Amino acid sequence: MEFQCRDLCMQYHTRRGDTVVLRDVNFHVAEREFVCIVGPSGCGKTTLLRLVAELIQPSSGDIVFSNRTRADWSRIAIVFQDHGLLPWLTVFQNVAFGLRLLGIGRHECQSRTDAYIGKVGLASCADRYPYQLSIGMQQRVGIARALVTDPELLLMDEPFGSLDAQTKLIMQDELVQLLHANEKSVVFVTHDITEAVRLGDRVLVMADRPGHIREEIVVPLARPRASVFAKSREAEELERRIWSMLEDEVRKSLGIGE
Amino acid sequence: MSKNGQRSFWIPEYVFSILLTVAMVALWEWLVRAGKVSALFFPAPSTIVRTSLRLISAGELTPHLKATLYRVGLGGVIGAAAGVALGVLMGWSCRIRNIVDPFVAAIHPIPKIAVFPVVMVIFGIGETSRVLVVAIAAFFPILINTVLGVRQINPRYFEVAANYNAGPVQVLRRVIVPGSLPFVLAGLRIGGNVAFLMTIAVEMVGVETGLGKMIWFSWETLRTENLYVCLGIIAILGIGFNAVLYFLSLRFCHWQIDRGDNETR
Repeated sequence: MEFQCRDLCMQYHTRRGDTVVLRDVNFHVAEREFVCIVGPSGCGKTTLLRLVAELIQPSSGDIVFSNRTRADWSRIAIVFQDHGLLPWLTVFQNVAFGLRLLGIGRHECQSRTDAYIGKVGLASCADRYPYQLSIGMQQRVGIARALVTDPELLLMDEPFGSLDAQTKLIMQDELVQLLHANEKSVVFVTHDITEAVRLGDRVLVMADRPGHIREEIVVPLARPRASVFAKSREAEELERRIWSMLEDEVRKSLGIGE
Repeated sequence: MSKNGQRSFWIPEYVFSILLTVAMVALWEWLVRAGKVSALFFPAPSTIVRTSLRLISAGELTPHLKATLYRVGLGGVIGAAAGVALGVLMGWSCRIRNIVDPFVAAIHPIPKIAVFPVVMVIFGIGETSRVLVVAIAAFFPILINTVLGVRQINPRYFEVAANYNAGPVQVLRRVIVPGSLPFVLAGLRIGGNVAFLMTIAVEMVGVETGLGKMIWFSWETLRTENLYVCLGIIAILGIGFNAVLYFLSLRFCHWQIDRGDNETR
């Protein structure tokens, strides 16, 4: 799903004055494009994603979805860092949650849910509850719940942020595989530069105070890409470039070496 | 469970509860028979059991029990329904909460038995007033727990529902009801016990039937064994009520109870 953010601003009014979270954010995501957003923590990455999902409204500016309105709800799905699984539902019920709310019939719901639980390798855990799963398994359920409605735009908010380094690598592979057969537009927020360069067609580098897009970097490598260990020289070069930009920002946010 | 898997030395806790109960009853029986305590004020357990069997078979107990259960049941259900309904609204809407909260804060600390005369002035000296005051007493703990139960639901779950365009009815059914249930059940447990308390208290003033009336009458006529029979019955009803809620929470709220480590429970 193609869309464009135009002059997005976001500010909160508090008693101690206004806090500007985002200022003049402009970017465009093309059909089937995988866009990663990196930036120092607190720079408004998550806010930006929530704006695109219309969970919150911008103070000014707008988001234009080409050829259809956002009102067509089944077309956008979100994967949260904390997975947001409902603890009182089983794995099956969690994956089916969106389908049920969108009014998909019981029969179709059953078959589509089973299929996606199988795809993320949790067929044997369908009747378990989230608290009985590891964090990696929980996030796989979160991804299955997002993909099962076959959205055209997938918003992922640091989906692998709370996983350990090894699980993260496996999950990246799985995500690449899942999306390979059925490509979607993806906006993927992360603070992991390697992850961003590995997964994205483009990387938006954000800066802080107020949050804005500092630079847009095209990753000129064909997708799907091989595992991190077969990293090309270009990828390494890109990572170094992104880090050189981010390093300033992170240092600033830590209050050291301006 | 014991450490190092030493199951052979492990005795379940309920064994101690039973042993303790048996020991206390035996001690009581012995103290009375040995004449160490007054049999008039502390009739022996055997006397109490014999009395209760006699009262039940003579049909003296049934009308009192029925009247009490009617008041607790009806009052409790009315209080619970109102408390859960208003609690959900207050938990859901910040505006409603801000409007209603001062009233709750003002009325909640007033002992509800003190409101009984006022209620009687308005609704007359009859069953309506009694049931109503029981309902009012049960209402507050259930209301407060329900508000808390709705508010502690992770806002993320509302976002997940919103992402799939859920309407208010669906949010209520799929997020609010299941998410707040553990707290609502805890509230029902407190509210139910308060309803019992209030019923017995109300029955001590100016009614013809009810366990509270029977307790007070037994005391005035110094038939203390009848009094103890009533206390025993109330205790049994309480155990039953709490057990029902315990099993409901095991059945529907295991996801909250089982969260984290199972070992320490």
